[in-house]
Amino acid sequence: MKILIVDDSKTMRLIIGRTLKELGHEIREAGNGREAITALKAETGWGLVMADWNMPEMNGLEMVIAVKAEEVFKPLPIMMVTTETEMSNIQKAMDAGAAGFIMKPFKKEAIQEKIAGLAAVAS
Amino acid sequence: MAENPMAEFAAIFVEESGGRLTELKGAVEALAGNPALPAECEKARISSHTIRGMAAQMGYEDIAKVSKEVEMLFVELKKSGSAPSPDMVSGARDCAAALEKMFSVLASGTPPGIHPEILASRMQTLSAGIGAAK
Repeated sequence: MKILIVDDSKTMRLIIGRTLKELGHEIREAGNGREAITALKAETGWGLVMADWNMPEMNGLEMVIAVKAEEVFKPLPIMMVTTETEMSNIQKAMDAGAAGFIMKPFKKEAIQEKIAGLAAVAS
Repeated sequence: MAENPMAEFAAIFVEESGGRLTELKGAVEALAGNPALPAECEKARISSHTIRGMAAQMGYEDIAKVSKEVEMLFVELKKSGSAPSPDMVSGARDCAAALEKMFSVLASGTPPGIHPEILASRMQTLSAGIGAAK
């Protein structure tokens, strides 16, 4: 599956990227919501977007709204990567069209389980 | 001792966290001069949040603990719409100084003289005071 990681933290992008590669996925990276939109439009075949909440330029919620406003990306699942202090915001992202969330710190197995869950819903 | 599977990212973490810590310290110093600066409170909240998220994922529990309580202080201030008191600014400044020392000795653990539990407890007390004052 081709997955776009959206996070302004290089450390987090590397950690998530390594985990996803170990799980056999192909990854791309973006540093904020605006870069994510550009990346999504530049390629096809996306399977999932994993997005942080707090980002400069365009935050996670703004990105979900912008992505879901594009007809071509409506079926594309977006998973928010978050902490418990942001849980009150997650419902806003879910209302805007996010498919789920995963809490930091996470283990590889948790990501695997979440992705399998999203794939099951999609099929 | 089991090797930290995140060890390969330690240098990148230290470099990136250093930048976020500079942002945090800058915001705290601005608030020391004028507490009524919501934009600086937001900078402090976001920088401490980012440090906390990265540290938790890296397995640096003491750094995550201290940065989380700084974040929570600014989350509570944002919710209440109030400015930080001098005690709160002082607490955030002490936490930032402790984080700087902890970053510098990541390989060997938390340095002597740093007590993450005491710092975290102090910040929790300050955060709780914001809710009680509403």
